[in-house]
Amino acid sequence: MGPKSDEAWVRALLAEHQGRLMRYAWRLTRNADTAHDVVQETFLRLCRQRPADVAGHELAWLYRVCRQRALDVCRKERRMSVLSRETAENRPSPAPPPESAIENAEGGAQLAQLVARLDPQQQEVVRLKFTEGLKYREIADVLGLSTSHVGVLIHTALKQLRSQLATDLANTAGD
Amino acid sequence: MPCDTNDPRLTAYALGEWDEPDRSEIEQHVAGCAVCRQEVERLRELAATLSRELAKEPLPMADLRPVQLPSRKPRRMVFRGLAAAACVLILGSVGFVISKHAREPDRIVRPKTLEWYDPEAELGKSYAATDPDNPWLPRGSVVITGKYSGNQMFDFAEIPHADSAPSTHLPATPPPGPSPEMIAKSLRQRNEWLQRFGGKQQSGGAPMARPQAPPASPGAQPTRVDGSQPITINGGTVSLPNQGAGPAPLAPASQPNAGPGLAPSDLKTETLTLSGTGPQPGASSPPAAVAAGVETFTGRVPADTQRMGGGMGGMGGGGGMGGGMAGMAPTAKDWERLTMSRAKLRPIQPGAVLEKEFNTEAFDRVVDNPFLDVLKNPLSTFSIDVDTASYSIVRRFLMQGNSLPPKDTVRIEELVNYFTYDYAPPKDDAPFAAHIEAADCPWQREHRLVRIGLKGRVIADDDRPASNLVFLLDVSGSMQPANKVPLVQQAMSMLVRKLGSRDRVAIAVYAGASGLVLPSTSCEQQETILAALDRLQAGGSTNGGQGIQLAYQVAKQNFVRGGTNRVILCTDGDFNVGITNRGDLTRLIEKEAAGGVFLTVLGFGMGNLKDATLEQLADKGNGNYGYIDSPAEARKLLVEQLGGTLVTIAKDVKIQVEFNPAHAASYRLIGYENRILRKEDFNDDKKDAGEIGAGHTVTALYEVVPPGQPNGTAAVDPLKYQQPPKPSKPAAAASRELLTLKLRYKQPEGQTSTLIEHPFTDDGEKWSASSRDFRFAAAVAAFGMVLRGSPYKGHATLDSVLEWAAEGKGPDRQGYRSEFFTLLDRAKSLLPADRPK
Repeated sequence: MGPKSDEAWVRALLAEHQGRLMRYAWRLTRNADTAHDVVQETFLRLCRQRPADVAGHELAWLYRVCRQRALDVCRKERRMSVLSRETAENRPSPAPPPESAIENAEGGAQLAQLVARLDPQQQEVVRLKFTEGLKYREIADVLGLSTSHVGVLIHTALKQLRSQLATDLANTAGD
Repeated sequence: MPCDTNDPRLTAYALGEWDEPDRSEIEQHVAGCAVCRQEVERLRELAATLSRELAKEPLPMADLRPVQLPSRKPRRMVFRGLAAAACVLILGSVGFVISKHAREPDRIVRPKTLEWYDPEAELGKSYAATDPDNPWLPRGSVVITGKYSGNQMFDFAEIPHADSAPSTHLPATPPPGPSPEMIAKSLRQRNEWLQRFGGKQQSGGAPMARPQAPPASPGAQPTRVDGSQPITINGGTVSLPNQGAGPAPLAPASQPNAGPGLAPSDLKTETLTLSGTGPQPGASSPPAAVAAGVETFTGRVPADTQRMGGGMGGMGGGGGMGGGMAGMAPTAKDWERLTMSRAKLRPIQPGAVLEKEFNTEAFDRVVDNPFLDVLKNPLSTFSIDVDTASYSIVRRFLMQGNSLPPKDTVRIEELVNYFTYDYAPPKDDAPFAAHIEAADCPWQREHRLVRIGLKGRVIADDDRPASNLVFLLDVSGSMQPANKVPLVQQAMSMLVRKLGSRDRVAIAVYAGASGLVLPSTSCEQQETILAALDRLQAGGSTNGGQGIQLAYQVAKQNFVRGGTNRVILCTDGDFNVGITNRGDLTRLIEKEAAGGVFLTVLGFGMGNLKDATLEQLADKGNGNYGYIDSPAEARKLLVEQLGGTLVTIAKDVKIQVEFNPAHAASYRLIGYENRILRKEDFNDDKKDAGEIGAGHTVTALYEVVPPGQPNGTAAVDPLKYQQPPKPSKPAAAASRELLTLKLRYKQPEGQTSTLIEHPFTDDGEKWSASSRDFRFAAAVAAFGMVLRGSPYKGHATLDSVLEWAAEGKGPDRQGYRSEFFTLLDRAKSLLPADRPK
């Protein structure tokens, strides 16, 4: 494969997936600069790949590298930083949440809260599936798990979400 | 298949994960089984809700700018969905590093040893990088000379273009850059493009650029066309490509000096994250090609309009370089808090995932030193600290962030040491003199406040030993805002102007790859150095580790015996690529410090997240750490205190105070929480401690509880097997001495320490009789305690701090103390419930 087509290939993937990767990286790092660096790094790494080696699982490859970079950064920063948590918790919120946002949060967003209560691996799988829209096979590739393991994780996560949702609804109704 | 609704396969089916032929099998079953059909429907409904709800999570679109790859047609890189936020940022902006074989000006010399080459990589592949229509881009074609390796991002090498004139010496003046016509043309293209995509700034403020603006019309905007200067377009900066002059390449040394932790195997962590197709440097030794020689590559290809958006942080808007800049990254953070409070939605916490893998992280929390009982702890031992970064950080929060600084940013000793005090310098040959003063403790009048002041020998600039400095500058993407790289340039230029003909400066940068922008150059050629500084641009991602190796290598090559050999690292601490292991990094730094190359770390424009890292790096490198948030701070640190910043006059300076139980029941060291040593460490010359620079002052404060007062220490059950120690020695009671101060230090190049002892007798001086400096230092310490909400702040309030500081202000020739009052005012407006404890 000629170099020109390699470049075109990278650019096509960049155009197609940059947005979602940026959002994904942001969700992992919660920092726009870091997300930017992570995604840039991911694509620069892609430039190093032979298209043939990545062909067929480009998306999973991108997610995997992106995730790994993001986690590297987060790990380092957590180890290095004094303040991230303190800062986030102690500094006042700039504005109170608008009423409408609170109302929105009542209904379905309850679900998002419940997701946040899942164990970290389940959360991650659920997000890769339902936020990022990856297939089981791709998720397996990103996380280095087997496809059936991913299937089980999603299955149990959905069960758990459903039963908690039911419990919560029952509690609310009981109030 | 069994009819079990609790089957992952059914879930997979519901989510559309099954492919033929298995799919039809399940499909058939579901069609005929009402229970499974219902289950599938419920699962699908849940999945749909889940996708919908998770998608609602808002994103800081304005902050997510697109990444840039090396491009000859940047306009292609608009990425969908974020085009509006982003389009302005792209044109001509290429944050990467390419290599040049040609001896073209402005190249960076990079020893190949910093990379892992895969000889079978994409060698020889060539990418055209020439775009005759685009003067922003370098000419020549790009050939990949190395495959991706764990530690580096991008490695294009540029083949010499036929008409690129090689230059092998340092030109006296930069050659001309692109012609005005080219610039005009390029600006036209750019503006057309801006128009097409309608650049719109996201976070308020002025528009980033006005596309209609007549490009390059000399009357309308300042346009400097000298090949290396930024062109200003309606407030934004666009820089020209690096076509200016550059120095000759530096001859390569041997292997870069890899510290123990930087051995190849440590690169594994990086590389293993790649797919199996990547090289596996961890498993191999450096290929032969690695040691081959030097390769040169340009700094950056051009121009980034990103600067235009640099000020859109949305906070403060204070003037000058640091005003309201994105260094505190308020948008994303504030947004995050907003989201979290709004929906109580917690993000995936990478840390939670990681806790299984890494359990070594520690938050460097600062917990106020407690009162210690003199009988049980007669010795107080700590390392001196001349760092002052905390003060700048506090100032930044107060003045620019308009918020109180988070508790752990307030390190009281750094606040106190930010100010210089009028201690007499040593009269004898000792590197420093010690002064002790005691008076009533203003926030707890029954207690005594003891101030220990050290003053380093003063060395006039002219008497300074020759210095060999290597600036190691972070030019990664996160350094783009105006309070970062531009401020670095400004700060370093100030320093260069202060240096003399005996001094040498080299400039190394690091981003995705690291490289030498300027080999060690005598300060006689000040203009060359300043021009090199001027050309720096931010872009790419950070690899602090490699940059440090390179900088140390250059420093060692130009080692000045008996002089100052120092790497000056300027960064926001975003070491996000490369050596991941901080331990490895600190080991390298310690090793180099032992070899005589010290490290100064200057923090720039950060949201202080990496503060602890930077401080630690500086400590390990026998250096100091400062935080530069404004040109004024740069002046203080680099111009006015040049001697102290550059010349270490004593190292491993430790303080041990022995209190006399006859006159002190308990004591508390104010600040220095992360500098406490074990009492045994005092006499252990292997234990590293702080350095003191020429003319530096170091101040430490103790709050001492006299006998007969409640001593504030935690009660411990009486011992069962021993008698509590008693101050039975007649010496203790007979002595009027309150304490004995013991100091240990080493000469900068020495290995064994020297001991100095100063007994001190407290004559019961009243606050009203204390010196001005004493009062001012007490006021600053009290300010820190109030900001920290310290349990030991006693009666201190911001009002009383103001009063004490006013009493102690004195002539304040340099104006630093006056600024303290501004901070106090701001803190008062932010801390309404400020009452004495």
